[in-house]
Amino acid sequence: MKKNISKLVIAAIVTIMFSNCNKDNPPPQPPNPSLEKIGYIINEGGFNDENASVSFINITKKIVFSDYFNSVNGFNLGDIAQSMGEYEDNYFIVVNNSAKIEVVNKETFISQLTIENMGSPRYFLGINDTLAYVSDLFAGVVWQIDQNTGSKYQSIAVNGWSEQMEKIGEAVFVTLPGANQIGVIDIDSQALIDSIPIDLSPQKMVKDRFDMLWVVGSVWQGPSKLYKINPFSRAILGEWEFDVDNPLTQLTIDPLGITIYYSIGNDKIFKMNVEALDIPDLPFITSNAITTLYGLSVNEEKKVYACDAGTFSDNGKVLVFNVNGQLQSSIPSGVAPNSIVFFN
Amino acid sequence: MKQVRLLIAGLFFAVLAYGQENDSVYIPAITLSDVSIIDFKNDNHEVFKSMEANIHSAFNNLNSDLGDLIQNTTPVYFKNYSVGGIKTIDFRGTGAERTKVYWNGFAINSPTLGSFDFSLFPVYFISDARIRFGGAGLSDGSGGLGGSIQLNNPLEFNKNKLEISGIYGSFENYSLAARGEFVIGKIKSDTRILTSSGRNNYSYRNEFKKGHPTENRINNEFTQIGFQQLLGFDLGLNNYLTVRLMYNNLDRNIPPPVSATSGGAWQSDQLLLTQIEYDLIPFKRAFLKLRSGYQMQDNRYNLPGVVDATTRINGWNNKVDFGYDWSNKLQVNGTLQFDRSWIKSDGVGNITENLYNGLINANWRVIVPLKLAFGFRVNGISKSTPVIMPYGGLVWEISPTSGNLRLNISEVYRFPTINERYWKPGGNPDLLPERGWNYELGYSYKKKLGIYHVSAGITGFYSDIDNWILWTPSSNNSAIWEPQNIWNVIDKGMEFVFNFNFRPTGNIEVETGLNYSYTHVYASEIKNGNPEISGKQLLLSPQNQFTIPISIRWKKLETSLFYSYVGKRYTDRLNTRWLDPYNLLDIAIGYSFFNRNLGVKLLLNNLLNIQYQTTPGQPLAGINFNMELTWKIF
Repeated sequence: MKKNISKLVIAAIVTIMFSNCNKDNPPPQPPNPSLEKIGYIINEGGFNDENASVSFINITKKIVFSDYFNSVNGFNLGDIAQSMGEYEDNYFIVVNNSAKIEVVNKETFISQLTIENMGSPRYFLGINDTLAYVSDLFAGVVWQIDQNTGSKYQSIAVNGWSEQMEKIGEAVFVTLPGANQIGVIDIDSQALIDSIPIDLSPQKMVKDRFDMLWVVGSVWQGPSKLYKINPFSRAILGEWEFDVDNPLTQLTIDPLGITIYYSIGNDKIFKMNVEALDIPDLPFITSNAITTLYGLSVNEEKKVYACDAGTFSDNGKVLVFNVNGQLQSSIPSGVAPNSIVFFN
Repeated sequence: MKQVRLLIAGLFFAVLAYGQENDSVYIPAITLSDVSIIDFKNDNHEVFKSMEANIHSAFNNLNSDLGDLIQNTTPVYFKNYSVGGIKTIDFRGTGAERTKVYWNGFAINSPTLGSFDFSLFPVYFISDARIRFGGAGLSDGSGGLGGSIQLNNPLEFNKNKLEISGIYGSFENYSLAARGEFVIGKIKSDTRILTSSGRNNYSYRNEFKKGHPTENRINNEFTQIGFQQLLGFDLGLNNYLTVRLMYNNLDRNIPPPVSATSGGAWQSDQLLLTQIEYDLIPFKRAFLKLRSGYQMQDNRYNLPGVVDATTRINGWNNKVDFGYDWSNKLQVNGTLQFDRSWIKSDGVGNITENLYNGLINANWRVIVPLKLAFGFRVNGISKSTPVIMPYGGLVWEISPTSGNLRLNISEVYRFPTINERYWKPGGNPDLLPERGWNYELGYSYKKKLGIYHVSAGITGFYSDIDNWILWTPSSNNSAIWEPQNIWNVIDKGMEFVFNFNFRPTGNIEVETGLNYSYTHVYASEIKNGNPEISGKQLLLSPQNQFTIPISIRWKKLETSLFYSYVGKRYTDRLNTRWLDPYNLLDIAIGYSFFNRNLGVKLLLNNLLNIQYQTTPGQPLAGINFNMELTWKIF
């Protein structure tokens, strides 16, 4: 009996040691963007879970490939994929808690460069062929980097946390949530030259086709507001308030800058022409299929992609609504999807 | 995996042929030279499953903490960052806040988090520890849905002793310690002091960087200094007084995610535990124990430029244990306890809370082979309605040669933590307590065949817990997370233990065994959220674990091998991603010189150089060593 037990124990150990082997999935073939509609879901992942990812979606062929960055490049993306910006031939994936930006080619998604030691980066904005701005959660600056080499230039001091950015003419407008301001950076002088105060903490911001800014402002467990701001005169053209029980949560705009889309709570999505004088009374979409609405994107066909982060612990999903606001499909995503970047 | 299961099944049935289990002994609370006081019949060790921690394991060393001690005893999963790093338990799959830790009868879990950081308690300060499974934790208090860990510091010595120890190991880890035990008339003293530090800059393969470079862990240092003083006074006429004090300060850096090249946080913890205990045996059949103490838990977490948060908890604990033997067949005992906590935290503000506890327990040997244990615990917090938790069970000695059958049932209960109720923002004061029933059926057997000693035991458990608390994003603002009672959880499994010991000659002793546990813990009912997660294993809780210890002692030489296997742990609730299983092999070789006054021990850890993680994104050390020297001065 003793002999048999010894054999079993040894066999068990050997078997278990080999059970650690992993099978690698082959990376997908690069898409052909001229023939196919392509999008990328940015999956933020869980804090400190190192499970940020990018899902590739071929809208034409209705194919989804999860963890696309890892499949193409052979290493994991990192911790908290906050956003993905683009400039010319490259995407810039801002990985917040990894303090880095992964630069990938737009067509192949092959890693070109890893820009490290970025503090706590949030969003990327390409300024010209070399210069780019990166906002930061804690550093109190907007970083200026060489997007080709990753080297940092001097930083532009701002008032605390800097978030979303829009370039209008020779100025960059950046939301400063901690200061209740929209900062104005002059590109020529590389300095913060002005600010637009608003009464609630601004985070999400889009620019319409008339170069007007639409901003979501909110306060912790308090009211929220939608602002329309003229960046040239710095005037607030309109503001609409939402009560604490029905907070304004997400904001996006179609690629042509004609219609903004915003959400109230998790289940109501509204759309509004940027020339309209007042917000609509009725939602464009009402859906109880969304557990936690964590991001909104709209493609050139004006289909609405609603990111559902669920409980943030599991893979989420992206619900696609057609131009009539009807639920069309559900796309599986990684953990905590926060936006979709459409290839153009 | 199928092969592994078959092999495990093969091992299981093979060892059943022998039978087992020696996992139950009384805990002596205080052992003065001529008197032993038993702590006491509320330890329903025969009816409920408990296990004495292997305090003498060759793998315990000066760098070991309470978590290491438990892992060297039985397969229990811990999540940790590194040596000295934050370490939390996952006992029977229930998570860190559902296992209670008691120091000489007082709960030392953080009232804010509910959990205990096992790295805060060095093994060097532990003389006696007991692991109580499931409903057995009701013996000590409430809230231990997975079980409880009971730490005791008996004054157990008969002569003066002074020894110093030192250890040096990989990654610039070292510790120095000294221990002195003195007897002066009717006063006894046990003093221990320990200091440790480590750089922990071990290498690992970074899968989050291009080309998977081998890098060294950064910002992973720790320093620790601790002190423990026990004093015992024999007051005569069966009166005893014991004073206990334990202090530990652990400062450590917390590494950034491995995908980052810089950053990280630091954390400082202080744990101060004090107690004065008075024991009285008024007459032979009665027992009285009075305990009162003060504890302080101080935590500061700093992520430079981002967060600088402190939590200070002051606690006043009071407990009365009493018992009486009505006859040789019936013993009754009880406990009354009052605790008061003052919490000052950046997360919840200032809160003061009272906790009331009571226990009535009876052990009754109905007939020779049948013994019953039953009773109930009452628990109340501040102004909430008290809760009564009944329990009961039996042990049936089938025959002197056929082993024991054990069956028990208990109601288990966990009141929400301070953070769960009052965290700003998101705390939910309307949370209901987690509550459910635990069922356990076990069989144990032991036999001596000449020079061979064999013991084995198997336990099946099943818990049905309602109102399971989970932090989820707020329904109308995902930036705010709030705890809710959203699940009903089933926790079921099987634990198997087998020990084999033989002495081929007087100088040689061989011990080996197998400890296996299977745990399936899952949400059976989803009151809010994705119904697809129903039936899926909870996060980071392994279903399969086992350990195989082998020890050979020959005169003054002891060689031990410890093999452990931890199965897949899921990192999402749909069970689509997981941390790979891992297997670790450790070896310890010890030798003593000069009439056993000088001991040398070499420990080789993770001999297979497995890269593994217990917390996602936190690689642990590969192969490493420790060399320990102990000099017994007298």
